[in-house]
Amino acid sequence: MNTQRRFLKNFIQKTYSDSSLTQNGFSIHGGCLRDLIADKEFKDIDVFVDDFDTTIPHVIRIMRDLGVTAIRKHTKGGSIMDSTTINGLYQGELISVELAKDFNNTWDVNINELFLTKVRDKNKPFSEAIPVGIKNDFTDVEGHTLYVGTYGKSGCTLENTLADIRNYQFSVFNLYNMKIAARIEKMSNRGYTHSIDKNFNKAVMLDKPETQVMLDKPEARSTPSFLSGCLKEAGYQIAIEQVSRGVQSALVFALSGGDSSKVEFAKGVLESDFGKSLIQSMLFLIAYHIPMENEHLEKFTHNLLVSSIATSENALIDFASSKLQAVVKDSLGGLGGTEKRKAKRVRQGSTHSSETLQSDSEALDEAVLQASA
Amino acid sequence: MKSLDQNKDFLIHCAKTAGYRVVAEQITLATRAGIVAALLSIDSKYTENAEKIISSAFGKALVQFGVSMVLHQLPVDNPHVQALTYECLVSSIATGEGAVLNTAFSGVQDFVKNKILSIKDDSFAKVQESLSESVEEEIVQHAKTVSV
Repeated sequence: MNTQRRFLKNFIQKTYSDSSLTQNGFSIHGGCLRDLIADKEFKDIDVFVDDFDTTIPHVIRIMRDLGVTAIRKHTKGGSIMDSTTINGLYQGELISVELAKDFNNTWDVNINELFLTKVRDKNKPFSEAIPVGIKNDFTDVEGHTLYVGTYGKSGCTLENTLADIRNYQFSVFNLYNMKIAARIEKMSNRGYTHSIDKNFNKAVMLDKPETQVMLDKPEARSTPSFLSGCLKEAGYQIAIEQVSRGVQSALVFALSGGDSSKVEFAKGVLESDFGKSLIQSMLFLIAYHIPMENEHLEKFTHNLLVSSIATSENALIDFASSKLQAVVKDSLGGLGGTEKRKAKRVRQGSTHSSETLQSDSEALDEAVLQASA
Repeated sequence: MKSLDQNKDFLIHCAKTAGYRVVAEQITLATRAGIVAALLSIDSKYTENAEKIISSAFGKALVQFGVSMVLHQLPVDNPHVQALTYECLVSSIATGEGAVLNTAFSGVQDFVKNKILSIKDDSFAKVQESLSESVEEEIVQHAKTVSV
């Protein structure tokens, strides 16, 4: 990481936790944050402020705290009109922070208003106008204001909104932005389009076209990703099944040498579903305490616990419903189908055996005749 | 080290997933039992094979796949139904692949088992042999002392 990037990271942490700055409409330009996250080079550190007089002393103080020396202030010296540039030396390198005055071109998007047209057209409150599936996605962010900063002529498109939200992830001011961004992106992927309501200058979400509505039905979900997810999950389940079966059979085999009733009991328990669940729990505890950061290990551990719970619950259900099963089986047997089939099988078997006997005796007779001849 | 909240969340998530898995298993068992009962009531020579297939692990996988397909086609946009569909399909793949693996490795399993058993028998025979030799020597020595 070069010096400028290191400085920006420290600067972000300091400024966004400084209440005197956040209260004064302080926001770091999304572009340089985006570049920082994407590990790209950026030219300037641009900051938007409501009021220079209030903000500049705080910015200078923070820069000093971070170890910036030889601080110089230049008004109207930047690429943006009505701006102030603060230069200084940080770890021997020139650092430049450009403060631009906010021309009220930041806009707030209330999550309720994202669906402004839909709510207005249907003349219903948000909670009733939005489809259930979508509403569920937004339940935890409903009512929270989505603060989005844009500048100049970048335009207030949904793509810009999403990019800005992502780049504001350092901001303590916008705790819900990341959540909202994820939801908007999800909707965007589902085929919803967006537009700017010129009367309100707000982003609004539009209905998707009819064809898209058709595509969004459950049967038309993204099949390849769904299947690959299923296959991966199944892989973990198979691995767990094989590992637990291996351990189970090894333990049962190890106990097979003993003759005492206690050993027999332990063997019986291990061979049962509860024993399997117990083994899976033990394996989970071992895997959970392995000091290793690995995605597959985590999923394996998770699946071990899930399998353990599911196995014991299934065994319990089977145990609890065994009487009911017997009753159902009896009543099904009473229908007569089984008896009829059994009788048929017996009939077939007896016919078959008598035929075989007859052919056998004939062959024996022939053999005797040949031998005597 | 994971925090208490993280552990709690993890456990809750696991319990929820296990719940779906249990429901999927019970639906499969019920469906399978229903199909088997229906097959038993039909008086045909083909039903016997069908019953055997349904009762096997492959049959279970087939039933799970069928259940997942039915759930997938339901015109309901419900997260629980979706989770159940997913679980049924995952279980179907896992059961099917597990059965294939078991069939493929049953020979290897038998071989390993027999090998372990033969090793065990050999070592037991050796111990017995050495034990009998030492006992024999002891008896001879004892006899010598007695005669002296």
